[in-house]
Amino acid sequence: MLHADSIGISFGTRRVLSSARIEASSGEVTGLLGRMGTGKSTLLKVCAGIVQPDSGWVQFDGVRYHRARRTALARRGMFYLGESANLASGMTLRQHFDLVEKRFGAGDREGVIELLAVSDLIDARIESLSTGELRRAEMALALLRRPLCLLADEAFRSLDPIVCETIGTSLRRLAVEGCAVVVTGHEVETLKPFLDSVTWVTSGTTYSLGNVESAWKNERFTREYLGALPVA
Amino acid sequence: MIRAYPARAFLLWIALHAFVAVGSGAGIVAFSTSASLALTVIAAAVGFFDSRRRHEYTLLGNLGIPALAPPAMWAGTILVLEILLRAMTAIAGGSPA
Repeated sequence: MLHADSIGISFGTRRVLSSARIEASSGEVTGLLGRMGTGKSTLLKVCAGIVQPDSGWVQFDGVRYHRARRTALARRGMFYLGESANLASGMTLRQHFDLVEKRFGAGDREGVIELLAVSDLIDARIESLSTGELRRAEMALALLRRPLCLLADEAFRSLDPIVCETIGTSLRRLAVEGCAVVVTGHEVETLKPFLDSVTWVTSGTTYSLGNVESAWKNERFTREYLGALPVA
Repeated sequence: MIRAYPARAFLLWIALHAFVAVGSGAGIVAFSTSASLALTVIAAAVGFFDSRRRHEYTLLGNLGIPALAPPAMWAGTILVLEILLRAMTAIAGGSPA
């Protein structure tokens, strides 16, 4: 569904990514893990067409882009959730739902509201929502859109365990419906149960570590990122 | 959200012309061509920063709407209003300020 390869990008004199690669398949949740500042968010933005790389390409839904455009990707079914500011502050969640349904057709609004428990938030203005409420509202919008691919940056940051569970369940539901989900984050133990595969971002490149079990058994990944020796 | 851009630009245009009319005491007057073009550019900048302040760009992106849409709609609205005002002023026999 989503495949980006040979991605290189610099900001000024700083080389953030030199040859990064990511592949996300329909029906799977891929964890994009790595230390802070290694380029996870940048790689997601490249995949979403928000940032243009110096080299490499992005292939989405069978079309290869050397300069992926955000609008073209979004129209084909790409949905991006950044770390913050994903919803318009002066609007309500209901207005967001209306916009998405008007643009892409009606979705399972009632089901989404129930799953994310956002019935009390539906007519509240976005700027009045707490961090956890905001994250649930953003995920509700993503579910309503029924994207082919969801890119979620730091999806679990600063959230209560119960909200993490709700968000994780939503990611799984999207995957079950055929969406290719890519999620970043540092809350590895919270993320772990919801992941199908792991891609490690380090030193400007990426390593596909396979499923969660094999990733956690990878000695270098464990030593350099998880920070603990693997359990025998 | 998209329909709000022309409305907001219209309010800015009305406010600006009202301010100039009160300040100059000459009533509503059409601006010179260069002033109108400058106002159009300023409107585009206001549109860009207003949408940024309202955190609209990620939503627009997810809707498949180009990031240029807000500044373009602000600028377009102002340009059309300036042209209309000049036309009306010309018909009434006045000259641009």
